[in-house]
Amino acid sequence: MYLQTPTWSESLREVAFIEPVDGIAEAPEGHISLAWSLREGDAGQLPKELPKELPKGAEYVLERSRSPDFADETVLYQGKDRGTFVSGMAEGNYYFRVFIRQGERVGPMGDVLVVNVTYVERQKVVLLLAVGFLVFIATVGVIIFGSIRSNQGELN
Amino acid sequence: MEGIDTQTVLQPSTGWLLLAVFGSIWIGLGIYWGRKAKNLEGFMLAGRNVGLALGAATAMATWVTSNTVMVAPSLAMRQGIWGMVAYSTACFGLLLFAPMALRIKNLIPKGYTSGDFIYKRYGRVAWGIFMTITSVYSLAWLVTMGVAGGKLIEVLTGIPYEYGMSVILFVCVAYTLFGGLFAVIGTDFIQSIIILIGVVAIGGVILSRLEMPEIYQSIETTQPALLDVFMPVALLSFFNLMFFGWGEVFHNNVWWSRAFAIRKKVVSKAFLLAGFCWFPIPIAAGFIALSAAPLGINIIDPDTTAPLVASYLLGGTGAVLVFIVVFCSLASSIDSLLAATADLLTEDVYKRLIRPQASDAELRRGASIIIIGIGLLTWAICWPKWDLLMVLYISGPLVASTIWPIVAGLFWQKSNPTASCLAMLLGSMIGLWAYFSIAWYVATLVSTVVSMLIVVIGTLIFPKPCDWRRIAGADHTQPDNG
Repeated sequence: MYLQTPTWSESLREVAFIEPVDGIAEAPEGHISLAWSLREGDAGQLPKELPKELPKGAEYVLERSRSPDFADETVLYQGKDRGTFVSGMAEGNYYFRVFIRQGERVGPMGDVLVVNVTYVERQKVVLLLAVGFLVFIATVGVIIFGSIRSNQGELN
Repeated sequence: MEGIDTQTVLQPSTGWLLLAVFGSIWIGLGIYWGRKAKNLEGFMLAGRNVGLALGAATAMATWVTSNTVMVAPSLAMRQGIWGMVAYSTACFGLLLFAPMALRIKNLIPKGYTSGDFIYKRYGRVAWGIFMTITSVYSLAWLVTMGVAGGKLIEVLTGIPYEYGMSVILFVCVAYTLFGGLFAVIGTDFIQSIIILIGVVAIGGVILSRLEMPEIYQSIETTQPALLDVFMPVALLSFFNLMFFGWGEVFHNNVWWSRAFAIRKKVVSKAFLLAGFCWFPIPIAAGFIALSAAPLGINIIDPDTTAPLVASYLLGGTGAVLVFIVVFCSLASSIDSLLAATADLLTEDVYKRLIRPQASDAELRRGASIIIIGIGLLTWAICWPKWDLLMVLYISGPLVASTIWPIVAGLFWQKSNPTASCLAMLLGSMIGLWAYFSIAWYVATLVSTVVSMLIVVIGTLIFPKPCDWRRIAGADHTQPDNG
């Protein structure tokens, strides 16, 4: 776990989610696209000319947790890309954060992103599946019986 | 988990070389086969004499689109096991079209287009609605393939999206222009063999390199919903995707033109064979996508999952193989759609509305101009890098609304024309409302249900018998008036 004592460094800047932007998002289908970027610097704390690229040997680290304190965090991605696609989430809240890591050094934590996954109600799913099945049977029936009648010369 | 960044596997020079080699082969074959098309019927319907092997190959290759090899993995990434199974249900479209194709051959042996059938069966208003639906759908399908081609080339080689997309469209337009349906079916045969061998080779090698228990454990831990047998969205998309596939096949002139082109004795077998050969392809393509996260491959755009995973596992050789397979699947579908849509517009719009007395030479020239026009329009719409699923699924409610008007029109003598018009119109509109107001994964189902109810109730209350012999007749300009 990298996050107990984050080490501040001017070269390791804070990272912010740029997609979604509001810090909270809904994922009704259990997946979400995430994108992040180096946060624009505060002139009082950081040099005016900020590097646009990651420092040498540094990587982005994306973590996900089911609890806001990241007690059970999982590293979902570690590398130089500035986005990822997260899928297969079960129902409930997920917490994401992204930061820079350079060897043993860890940059400051950005804002936490909360993603809520709420699927369609099961009763609705069962109802729609039943409707789909009826349409399936009806259509296949018309085609098969129609073909038999056509091949017997009844539809000429 | 150590992430693997999205870097290109092949050099841009290798990508250009592959594009040049395969582009030249397809255009060369288009010119060669184009010599066989002596008249309009040869150009549009390959002389109506296509046998079982070529017929099955062209149907299968056409149905293996960029969507099969790019969207099926994308669906597996989003919806897991059910996602790829749901996509594979599109094979029912081909399987059910097998008996329909024989019925079409029996009913209108000298037919040219699906639009022609709708006009003669249901009249001008229904024909207008149908032509609007099929034009929008055909364009959407072409756009998804152009976008998929550009994305694939960019991901694998680093060639900018706009260049790759433009080259693929140019190659397909060029050889369809020279060869018509002869070239389309001929190249489809070669492309289907390459696709089948390529998919089996890629799938086999990938399977041998994956540690299945570890993959399963990883997915269960980090992406549990992908293995959930009751994943709501995936279950709902099951019938949604199935009816989308039915709507695509039942209405589109790509399949009707093949029904007219294949010999009557083998037409059903050809579509059945194509359906069975197609069925495992999206499952194989989807399966490799499930291994992306366990392997630590960072997916930013789910549409690019398949090429990224395959090239990671197979290296440069694998990337070349993926490139060739997807290029073939793109070309085999774009050419078919270009040819069939050009036939439809030539016969149903130019000849019917503008110049009924046009000669064969004029019609062939018109078809060529239309092919170029469709190619240019597709190219312009492809320029923004659209989301493949968004473009594809928005046309789902439209095509699904045609299922029942077509099925009832072919098999029910008393199917009501007014009900069929309303079915297409209201099915499309309510389906699109569901797409925007509820969710994409119910839109096609809603459209199918609305359309079915209108056709069934309309026909039961107001049956309107038609004269089958009139529909089969040689006069292609008059609708059946009951």
